[in-house]
Amino acid sequence: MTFTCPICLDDNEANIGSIGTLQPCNHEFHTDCLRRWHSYAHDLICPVCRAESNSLLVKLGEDKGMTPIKVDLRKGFYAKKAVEYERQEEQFLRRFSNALRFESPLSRGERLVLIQCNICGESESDLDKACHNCGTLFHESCLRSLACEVGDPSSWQQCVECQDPVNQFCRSHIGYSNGTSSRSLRIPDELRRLREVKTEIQGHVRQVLQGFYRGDNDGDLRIKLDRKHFAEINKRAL
Amino acid sequence: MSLKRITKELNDLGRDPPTSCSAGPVGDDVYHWQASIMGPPDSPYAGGVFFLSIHFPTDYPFKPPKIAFTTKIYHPNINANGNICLDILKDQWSPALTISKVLLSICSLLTDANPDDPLVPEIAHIYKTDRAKYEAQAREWTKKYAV
Repeated sequence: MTFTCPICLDDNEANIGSIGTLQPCNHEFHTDCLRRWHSYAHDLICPVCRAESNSLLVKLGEDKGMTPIKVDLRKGFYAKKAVEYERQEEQFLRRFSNALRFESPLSRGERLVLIQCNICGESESDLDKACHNCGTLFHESCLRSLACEVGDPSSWQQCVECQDPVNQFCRSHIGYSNGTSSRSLRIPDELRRLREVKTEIQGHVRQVLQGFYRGDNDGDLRIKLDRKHFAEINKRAL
Repeated sequence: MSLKRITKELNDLGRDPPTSCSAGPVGDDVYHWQASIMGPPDSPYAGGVFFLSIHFPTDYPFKPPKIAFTTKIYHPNINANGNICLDILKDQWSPALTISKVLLSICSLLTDANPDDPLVPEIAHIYKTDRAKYEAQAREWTKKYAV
C-alpha cells in the first residue's frame, strides 16, 4: 500500500522524505508537513483523528530495521508558543510607548539596563543592590525602608519585581562599566518626567501608608487615597 | 504547496465524485472554486440545488478555505450573506480535511441544524419553538431560490 500524506495528499514515492508517526494515535505524515501545521496550530491534536499527541516517531533512513527517533513535541511546541507570546508582548509594549509619545521606542532590553533605583526612581551613581535574575536595580536604603513600610522588615533582601534575593550591584554585571553615564543621559525627557510622576505617586502612597500604620484614619485607606490627587498627578504625565 | 494540493483535490473529485455535491474552479483561477450541493432528501431543502463560492487562502491547507452560499437559504446557521457558522471552517479546521469532506459536513448541517450556536437568532428561535413553521418557510425559500 502506498503512503499518502493526509496534509499535502501527495503519494509520490519520490517525494516522500521523512515520515513521522504521531504518538499515541499512530497516524503518519510527512514530517515537514506536520511541523508546518504545528506552526499554525494552537494545540497538538492529530489532524486526522483529533487525539491529543505528545511525540513523533521519525525514521531517518530507508532501512526498515532502523530504530526511529522519538521527538517530544510538547517541549518545543509550548516553548515556541511562549516565545510568540513574548514577541506579542514586546510589540504591545512598543505600541504602548508610542502612545505615550516617547521619542525612541522603549524596548524590553532597553528598560532592563536603565540605571535607576526601582523604588525611588533616582539614577545617581550610588546604586548598590541589583537583582541578577531580572536586572532591576535598587538602593539598599530604599529596599530597607520599603520593607519596613510594608510591615515585613526582613523582606528587604528580596527583589520587588521577582522576589529573587538581591545581590551587590556591580556595574560590570550588566556590561556598562564605562558607558553608564552616557546611557542614563540618553533617557528621553518624557521618560524622565514619567519617572518623576512615579516618584510622586510613590511618595503619596507612602505617606498614606504611614498614616494608616499610625492609625489616624480609622484604618480606611480610601479616605486619603483620593482620586483627585492621582488625577492631578496623571495630568502632568500626559 | 497549496497549488499542488488544490490540484490534487480537483483530480480526486473528478475520479471519485461525491453523490450529492460537486465542485470545481471558476475560470482560470485555481484558488477560486464554485460548488453545488443538492438539498438532502430528508430535509426541507429537498429538490433544491444550492451554489457556494470557495476561496482558498495561499497557505491552504494550513488555513481553512472561505466558503459561502451564493444561493439564498433559510437556515439558523447560514445568514443573508451566505456565511456559514461551522466550527470546522474556523477554529476546528484541520489540514487533513478536504473540500469534499467539508461539503459533506455542510450537507449534514442542512439536515441537522445547530440552533444552539445560531448565526440568525430569529430562525433559530422559530426552529426551536415551531418546527413546522421553520420547515414550511425553508421549503418555500428552496422553491423560490433554489429550484
